[in-house]
Amino acid sequence: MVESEYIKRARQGDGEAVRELYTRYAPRVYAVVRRLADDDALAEDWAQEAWVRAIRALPSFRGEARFSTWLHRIAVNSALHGKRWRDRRAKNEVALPATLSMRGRTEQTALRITLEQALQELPAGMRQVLVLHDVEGYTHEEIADFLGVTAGTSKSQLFKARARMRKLLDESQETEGEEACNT
Amino acid sequence: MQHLMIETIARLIDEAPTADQATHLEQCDECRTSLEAMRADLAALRNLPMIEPPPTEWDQIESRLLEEGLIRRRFGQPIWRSTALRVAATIAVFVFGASAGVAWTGGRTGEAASGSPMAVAGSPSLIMATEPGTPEETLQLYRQAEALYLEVLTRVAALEEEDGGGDPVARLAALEGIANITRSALDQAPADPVLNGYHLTALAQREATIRQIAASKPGRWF
Repeated sequence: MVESEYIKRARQGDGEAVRELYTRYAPRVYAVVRRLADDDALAEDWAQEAWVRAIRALPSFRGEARFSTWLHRIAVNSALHGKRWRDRRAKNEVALPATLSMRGRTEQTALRITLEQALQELPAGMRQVLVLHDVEGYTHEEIADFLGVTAGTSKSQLFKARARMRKLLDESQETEGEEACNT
Repeated sequence: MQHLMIETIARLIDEAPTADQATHLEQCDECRTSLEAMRADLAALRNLPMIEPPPTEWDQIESRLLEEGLIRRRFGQPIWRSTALRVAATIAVFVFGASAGVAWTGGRTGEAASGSPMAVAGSPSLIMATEPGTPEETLQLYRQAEALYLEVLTRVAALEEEDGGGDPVARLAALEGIANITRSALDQAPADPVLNGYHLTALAQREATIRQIAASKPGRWF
C-alpha cells in the first residue's frame, strides 16, 4: 500500500495505518529528538509528544510537503518548544545514551559513538544549531524560525559549535593515542 | 605567521574565503588540515544513522492516541489468522535464535540431539512452510514454538551461570546474528508487534554489549 493511503486511513482513525507510519518514521523522529535532548527520558517524552501532535494535526496535512518532512518539523518543534531545554548536563556529563540502538554497521560504531558523545558534550544552544544545520540540513533561516533568533545568531552559534566539536574530537584522538602508547 | 581563528575556519566550510584567508590557507598546512578535518566532521555528522526508539514507545503512544480518541482499534480480523502468521515467524526466529545460541556457547552446551527441534536449526523454510490452516494447527505450532523458546532460554541461562555472561565479543557476534535474523523475519511480517519487540530487544542488547566492551577499556574510552 502506498504512503498516501496509510495517511488517508490514519486520518480516519485507523490504528493499523498509524502504526505503519510509526514503524516507517519512528527511528527518524527519535534520532532528531534524542540528539536535541540531553537524556533518554526527555527524548522519549518529546518523541511521544511529537507523534501525538502529528496525529492530531493529520487532518491539516494537505500533502504540499512530503509527509516525512512535515512530521520531522513537528518533531523538532515538539523538542524545542515543548518542554525547552533542561539543565541536566551536570548529571549527564559523559553518560552514553542508554537506549542508543542505531541502525548501521558494527565497524562504524566507534566513530558513531565518538560523534554522538561529542554532540552530547556541547552546550545546549550550540548543540541545537549544529544538529539542526549539520545533521538535519535545515537552513539558518529555518533554524532562526524554530528558535526565535536571527539567522546571524544561528550562524554564529554554528561556527562556535563546529569549533568546539573539533576540539572535543581532537582531544579524543589524543586520548586514544596515549592509550595506545601505554599498552 | 598568525593562524586563522578556529571559528573562522568553521565559517569557511560554508563561505568563500577572503583573498587574505585564501592566501593564508595556501601557505599554512596547519590551518588547511584543520579545515579538512572540519569538512570530514561535517560529512560524518550528515551520515549519522537513525536511532531506534525504545521498544515500549509505540505502546505509550498508542495508549495516548486511544485515550484522546484519535485512533480506534481494528476489529473483525480473525484472531487465529494473525496469530498463525505470528507463530510461523516466531518459530523461524527461535529456531535461528537457538542456532545462534549454540554458536555462542561454542558447543559447550549445544549438543542438539538428532530429531529434536534443534536439529532443524538453520532450515527456516521447513518451519515457515508449515503455516497453519486451522486453529488446532496454530495451537500445535504455538506449543512447538514455546518449547523451542524454553530450550533457547535454558541454553542462555546455562551460559550465564558458567562464566558470568561469556565473552562479550562472542556475545556481540551472536547478537548481531540474531538482529539480522529478526530483521529478516520482519521482512516477512513487518507489522508483527512480537517480532518488532524481539528485534528491538536484540538491538538494545547489542548496544548494551557494545557499551560493556567500551566500558571495559580503562580511562576515557572514546
